[in-house]
Amino acid sequence: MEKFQGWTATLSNGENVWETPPVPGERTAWQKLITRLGTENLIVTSLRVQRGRVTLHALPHKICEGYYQAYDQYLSLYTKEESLKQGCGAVVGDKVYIQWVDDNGNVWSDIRPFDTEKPHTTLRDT
Amino acid sequence: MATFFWEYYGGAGPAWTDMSTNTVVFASSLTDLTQPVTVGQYNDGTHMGNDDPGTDQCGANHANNIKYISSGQFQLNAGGSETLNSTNLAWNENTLRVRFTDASSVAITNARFYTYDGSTVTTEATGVVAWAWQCTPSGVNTWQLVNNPASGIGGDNSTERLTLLDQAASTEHHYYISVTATPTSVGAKTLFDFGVALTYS
Repeated sequence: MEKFQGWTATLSNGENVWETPPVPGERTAWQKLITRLGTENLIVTSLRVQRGRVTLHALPHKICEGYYQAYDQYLSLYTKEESLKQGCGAVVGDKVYIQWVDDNGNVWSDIRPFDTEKPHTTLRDT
Repeated sequence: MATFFWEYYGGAGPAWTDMSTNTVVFASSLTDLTQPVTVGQYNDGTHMGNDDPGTDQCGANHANNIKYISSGQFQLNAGGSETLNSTNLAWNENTLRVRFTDASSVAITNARFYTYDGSTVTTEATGVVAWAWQCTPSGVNTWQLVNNPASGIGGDNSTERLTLLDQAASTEHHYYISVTATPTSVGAKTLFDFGVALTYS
């Protein structure tokens, strides 16, 4: 059986929500979850991302204002070098503290401004 | 996994066409990719080459050539100098288009275009000064310096790359970009690559 890869969020009602495969033309599971949080008055109480043998845990909800999940991808023109990383993070003040992991298990830490990353956070405008 | 495509406006039609395994070749001729750009001069021709430069793969119509004149001026296909904006330099007249697709509808932030040495994305290309510009009605209408080895500018570094505007949720995203370059030394510039990166969810 193939091991699960993706994000898992625990909600304030105790429910766990897992990343599901894309549905053509629809928003991603993460964006759908953020919409659901607003309509059902829920919050995320923990967030983690699992890829291969690596599991990343975002900060506890008591010390952050919201959560972040996104993919970061690049491609070069000539060498065709390509990279895909998945990240999870937490919003603290005007910054988002993110950890990224690629399919080889390499992990990076990152801090980005909340203003520019807001669309990927649970604090985005609905 | 989402997919990037590098495209040029040319070939049959002309139309936006996948560059496939070809490379962008800057030359001094609109029709001959073997004519090199003189040191200190900017490109007068842009072509698809299958090597360095190899033979021309543009097809029936050559790629558009955008030439740097000054910080807010450009020249399209050896025409007169014009003010850089999305009216004078329309979408289909740019050097390239980056197309990004995903099965899901995704929102994009932190998108950027950069030049680098082909090995380390944060290291500038050698022997080339390059400028880039994103064609969009709400964008900045001056060239962004994206590579200058004399001052260590280039690569995927803040202020040394072209920041691309955020895009709302969609399954397909387009970035229209013009690039222009001048060699700082004689010889082919093999340590000169383009990169694009973005964040989506």
